[in-house]
Amino acid sequence: MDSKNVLISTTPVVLSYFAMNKKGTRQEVTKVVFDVANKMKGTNLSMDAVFRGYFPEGPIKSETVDNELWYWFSNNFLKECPDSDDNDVCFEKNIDQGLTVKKTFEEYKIKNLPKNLKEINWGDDANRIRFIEILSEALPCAE
Amino acid sequence: MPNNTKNIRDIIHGYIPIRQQDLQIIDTDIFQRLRRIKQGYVQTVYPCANHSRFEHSLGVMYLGTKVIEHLKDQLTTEFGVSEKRYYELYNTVIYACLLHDIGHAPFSHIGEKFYDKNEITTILSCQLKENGIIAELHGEAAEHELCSCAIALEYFGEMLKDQIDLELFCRMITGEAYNKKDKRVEDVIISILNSDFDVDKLDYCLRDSFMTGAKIVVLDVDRLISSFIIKDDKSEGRPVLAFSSKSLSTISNFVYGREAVYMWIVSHHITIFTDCIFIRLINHLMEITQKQNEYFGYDAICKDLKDDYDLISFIRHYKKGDAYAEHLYNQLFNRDYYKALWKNYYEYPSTEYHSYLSMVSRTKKTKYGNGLEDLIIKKYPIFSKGDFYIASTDYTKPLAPLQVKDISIVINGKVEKFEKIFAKTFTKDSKTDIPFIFVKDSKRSELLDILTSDKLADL
Repeated sequence: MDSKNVLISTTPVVLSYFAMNKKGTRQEVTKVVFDVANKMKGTNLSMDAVFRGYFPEGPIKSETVDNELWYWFSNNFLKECPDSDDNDVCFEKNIDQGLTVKKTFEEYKIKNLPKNLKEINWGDDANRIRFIEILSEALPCAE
Repeated sequence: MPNNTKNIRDIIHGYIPIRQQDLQIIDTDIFQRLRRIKQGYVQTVYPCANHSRFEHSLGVMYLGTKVIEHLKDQLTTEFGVSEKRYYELYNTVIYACLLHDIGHAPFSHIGEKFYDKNEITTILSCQLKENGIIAELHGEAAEHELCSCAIALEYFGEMLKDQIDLELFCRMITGEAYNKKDKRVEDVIISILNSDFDVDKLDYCLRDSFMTGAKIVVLDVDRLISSFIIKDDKSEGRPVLAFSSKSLSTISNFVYGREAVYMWIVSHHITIFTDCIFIRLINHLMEITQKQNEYFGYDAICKDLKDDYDLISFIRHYKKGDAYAEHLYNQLFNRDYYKALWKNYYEYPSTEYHSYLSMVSRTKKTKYGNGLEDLIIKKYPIFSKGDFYIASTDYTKPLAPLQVKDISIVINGKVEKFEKIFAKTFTKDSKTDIPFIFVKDSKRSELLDILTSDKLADL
């Protein structure tokens, strides 16, 4: 077993969040990523993210999660919700962009994850399985 | 200006007054090491941008001092802070600003990727205990911030413990708020150094802009600082650090200037390329030599004082005879750069690259590169390692709706957000975060063929 720590980017968590939920605010997504990062403690996994703010129950900010959301927003995978309010920006899947976007989010649904996420260098497949378990526990599943 | 000061002439702020007691920190080998840590690696595009973390740290201290001095009246009258406590907060701000980057790695954020976060958090926990801090710091800050805090406690904790609030000092550097009703003033103090509009960002935007020669951020710093105000934000249910409306034009100058700094300096395609190559070169040589701890371990930073020059020497020595390392080295140091398929968002034909983006989504980031490269090389033997690179910016996008929302401005006595006030001129369509591909000329057409066809889906 490769005991080396595996550093996971926020990408699979953010994309899985939107695969399983129609929409989410910046704070909701950040909290889920923070939750996943916390659940990784004591395992070989760790989250490549920086969090700031009011741990554990207050508002949390993360430049890393902002960056991730901005990446997918910039590239039209996400768009701003029409009913986004003044307090927190809300994102939803940009399914108008066609099949590629739909297919990508489909791959990140929890039920499809076991056969995906193989591109990351996990060291040991047990790390991948553990990550999927953690993600399943942390994600609110509206769809 | 306090008595017994020295003045250091700074290119951005003019004379920066330094107190005698501050010299006990500045004139140490560990602080002087910052002279040999470059602020960023943008001189491949802008040759004059050779400024270091040393002058940046002094600049942040200068700005932090001005802000806390400006807030004195409000803190002591409206928030009941005693004179004695104010001077403790004053010193805490000064030293947190001065020492906030002392734990930076050689080549700053490039080297930071090679820090072992577990090692640093463990050392920091010990330092906190030894200094009698029982705070539950979660260690969710960036590696260099945790390292700065640990080094500051180890080397200067004894000297500072009677002058400053050590826990607040650590929280200012790591950005972790208290979230307690009796610590609301302290949470405001934290935001001086760690928020979406803090003195750290203010200094590096001014400095990067000036030192590159781009001069895209020009603003009235005194006017801006004089508009800082602590105000209750009803939506957040706590006081926040905001700006009064008298500096609206200065704030908008700063926000739009900051966007330009990121778009044309930090996210310049050549900066992204050289960062990408540099990280791969270091990673490759560290894997071969197993010397990561000698250059990026905690002791390497604070005892061996490893700096940019050490890392360059290491690279020069160990690249010899290693074809891949020589290949990367020649690109980086002989300016033998690959061409980018597109140089910015405006040249990026996103509609033609949807399959590619889909693949990037599955493989986007590993710590040192992108998994999609390996998949393409595996499937198409025409490509070999080093024929092309996939990279993206690794910095927070300053004009994203996310960041601007948190800049508070007081309008008619009420806290409003920047985005709302500047709704007419602020565009959420400012698209700057795209993946970049750099390819050698002889393989350009083959790569384009794969990226724009359905071939990607078969990988």
